[in-house]
Amino acid sequence: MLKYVIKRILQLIPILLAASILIFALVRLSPSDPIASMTTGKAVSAETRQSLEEHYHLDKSYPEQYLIWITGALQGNLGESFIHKQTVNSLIAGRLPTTLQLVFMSAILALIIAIPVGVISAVKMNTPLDRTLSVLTLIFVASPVFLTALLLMLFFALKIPLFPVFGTGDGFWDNFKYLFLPSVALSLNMVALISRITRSNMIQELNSNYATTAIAKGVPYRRVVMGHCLKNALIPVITVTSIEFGTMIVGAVLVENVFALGGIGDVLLQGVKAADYPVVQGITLLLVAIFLLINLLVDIIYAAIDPRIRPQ
Amino acid sequence: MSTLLEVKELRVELMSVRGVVHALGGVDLSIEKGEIHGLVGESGCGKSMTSRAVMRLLPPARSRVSGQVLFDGKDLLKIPPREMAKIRGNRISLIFQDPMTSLNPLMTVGDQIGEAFRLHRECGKAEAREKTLAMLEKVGIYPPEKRIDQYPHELSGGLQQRVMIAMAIANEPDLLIADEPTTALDVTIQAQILELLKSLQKDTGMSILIITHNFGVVAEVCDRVSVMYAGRIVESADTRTIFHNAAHPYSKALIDSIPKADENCEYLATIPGSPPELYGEQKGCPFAPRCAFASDECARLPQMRSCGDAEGHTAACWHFQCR
Amino acid sequence: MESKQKFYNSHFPLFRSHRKKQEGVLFTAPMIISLLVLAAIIFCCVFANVISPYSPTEQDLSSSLAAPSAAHLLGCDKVGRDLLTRLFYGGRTTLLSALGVVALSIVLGVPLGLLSGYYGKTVDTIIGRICDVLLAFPSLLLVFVFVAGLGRGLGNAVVALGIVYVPMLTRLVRSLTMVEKNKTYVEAMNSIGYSDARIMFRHILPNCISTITVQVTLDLAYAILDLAALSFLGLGVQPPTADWGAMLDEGRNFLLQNPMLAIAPGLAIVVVVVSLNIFSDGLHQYFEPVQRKLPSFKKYDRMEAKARAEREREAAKHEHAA
Repeated sequence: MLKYVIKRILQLIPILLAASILIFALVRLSPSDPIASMTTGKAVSAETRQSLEEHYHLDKSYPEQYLIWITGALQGNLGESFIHKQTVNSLIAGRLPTTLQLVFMSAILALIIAIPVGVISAVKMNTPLDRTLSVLTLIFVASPVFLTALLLMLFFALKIPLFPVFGTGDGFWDNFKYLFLPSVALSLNMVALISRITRSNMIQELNSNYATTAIAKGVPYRRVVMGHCLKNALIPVITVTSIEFGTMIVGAVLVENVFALGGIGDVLLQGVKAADYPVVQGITLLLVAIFLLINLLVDIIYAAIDPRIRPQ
Repeated sequence: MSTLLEVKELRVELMSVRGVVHALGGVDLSIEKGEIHGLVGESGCGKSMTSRAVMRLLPPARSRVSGQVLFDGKDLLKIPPREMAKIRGNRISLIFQDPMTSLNPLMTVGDQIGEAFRLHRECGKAEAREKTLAMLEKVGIYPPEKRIDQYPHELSGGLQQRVMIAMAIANEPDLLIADEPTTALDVTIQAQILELLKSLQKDTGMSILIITHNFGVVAEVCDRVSVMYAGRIVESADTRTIFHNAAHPYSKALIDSIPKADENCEYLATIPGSPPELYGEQKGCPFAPRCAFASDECARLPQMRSCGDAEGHTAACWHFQCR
Repeated sequence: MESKQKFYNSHFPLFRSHRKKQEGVLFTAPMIISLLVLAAIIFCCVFANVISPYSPTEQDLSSSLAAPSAAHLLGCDKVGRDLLTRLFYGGRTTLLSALGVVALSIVLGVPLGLLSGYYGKTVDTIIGRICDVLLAFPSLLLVFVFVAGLGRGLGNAVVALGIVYVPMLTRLVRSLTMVEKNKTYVEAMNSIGYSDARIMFRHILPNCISTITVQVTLDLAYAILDLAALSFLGLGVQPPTADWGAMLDEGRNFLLQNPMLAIAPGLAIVVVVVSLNIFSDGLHQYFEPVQRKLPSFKKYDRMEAKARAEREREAAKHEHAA
């Protein structure tokens, strides 16, 4: 098992490096002038320009700039922002907790709601309850996350002031109030998708031969559903969750934008619009690394749960 | 000898996209205590369907079962589901054809067998484990301490089938229904499993209903045989009579088509035509279109009548073929 | 034909299509509805200039933020432009750009998948690694980086998104190709000297079309959602062009004054995506029928009794005639 984990981590490193090259190349491919974005277009003297270029290593060749950046990144230094007078690290440090809490709350909400809904839909297949849930999940799968965010804001923050409209609170527990609507919006897509997948997997498992064996053994139906079929049905769900995490990261950017939460997404977006390369490079690299690590974690959980996958 | 299980006029209708399939059109079967009864027929004739119907394993949304299944003074089709669950795996057990997919891939072998004990006998985890080890030895799985914590995919087909048998006989049922227990296994393992079933039957005195399409299996283990065709029983007799003196043209044709090693012929005997599709009610004898002896009488459905030669030999035909 | 007649008279098939021919059903109710909805929307967007009540740029400041009325079915935006008209024109942009994304991903992804699955070994490894790197990015993040470097605009967004969709399609085509490659007809074609390209594109590809089509309709739906998200953030379409995402971005500033500004384009997106999902699902069911909904026995008995009564009436009529 440990060997499997180490092997997977080693496989991850070249992918991460290749991704970093891709990020760097795409960002620097730009025809725009980084100095101009730094000085927001104001004219500058030649000396100021030269000193700025030296400071940000823009006078060196591209491969050199890449190496400086990546070696710094591996040691934990992601560079300095062009626009904000701060290091990328401090920008991230200030915003990351909010984003993490948002994503965390959404994921938990999604799992708590989606799995029971999926199981109930499967057990009560083709009843009116199942049909209604099916229609609802179909609509929510198709709703863009920013639309649901806006609608939630309209109904539960503006028209009926149950929740704060935007911003974040002080500290972890106060944040729950501010992050509730955003996390509901963020989780809705996942809830719909996971419950649909859980439903179809459960139906498959309930029709399987081993479920029939269990019934033939005299196992009560409820136990067959929960004790035998559920675990089997959830395995593909785990795979989907790891892919969905990527969608959640992007969704977090959108939700933060709607609710003005000031998380990582906001900083990234500003950076993209203002061509603030260190910020864009640094945050993207961080997010890619997190995404790859989560994929790895999911694969390990997968191997831990399903004995057929474990390398003998 | 007393009757353990009596099936009367069992009918099963299944819903499909093309209409209602009359899978069983009135099956009559009776199994005595301590008897090994074989149920033979072609694929699709309704043998497995019978076992599922008896155990009430058919999905209620898509199937309709009528008739009577008398066991221990009760009609199994009428008792409440909770009572039926107490009988399954306890008084009547069922083992399936494909052991690989019939065992839960995420549970250890020991847990699955132990579950049978913990469901029907009041015992805790440790006691169930003891009993499971004993059961593994009984069905010939060695070494039991190693196998008990393995997962189904780590076992060979023969061992998996033994695990299924262990699960089924854990609570010493009165009746064991074996649905094509050896079809998915190779011939050498087949023999071992059949030997195991025979010895278990001798030990416990339980009855076994073996469902198969292989007459070799029938000859090896069965005391009595019932032949099914198109959802009906067409003949019932003891093994010897069936092989030497089959009365129904279909049974006779089946027996005749078994290749014999000492035969000297160019072509193997076959039965021309194919079994009827079972949409809609059957009028008349279902075998008539393929029967060499069909006549106008066969438009009326024949009832099971005694053939008169051996005891308990009945067949549903207007033209008996026994010598 | 006589035996078929006998077959039909002897039992009662359930679905109308089966009473005519015993094949799988393409045009089930959900399929037809979703196709009609999609056709209606496409029609409205294509013929936007014909059927719109106003011009999309016509401003009427006196009706700024007007609520829905007889004159303006969906109301007006801040500068008095009719919302319904903008919806049609915006739909044009949304649908065309989504189509562009999918077309690009097909043009790049399908050949890569074919090559990868057919040749295997080195080609497969290289293409596979490229896909792995692309898939290391959570969907839109790569588009962000692209846009950061090359600037905002619909063109860049479409190209970037098209590239992002390539790995999934490549993987799908690759696994299909690998299955087909082992079939005997490929071996036969090799032995008579067909070139690899010919085998791949004229023989293997048609066998994969059904699965690819199901995936492509889904991708179309995702493209609409992703492009709308990009426009919403200001990274996709640039003013004065508008698409549904950009309209949502505008609408969010006037949520209390005229919620229709946000709800109308949002609803449009949902309707199109749901229809595409249903359509894709219907296609999937047609190509690989798995779970058909079966009627209950009560319903069957009722239908059968009706049919039997009719048959008896027909028989009685024939007797009278004879």
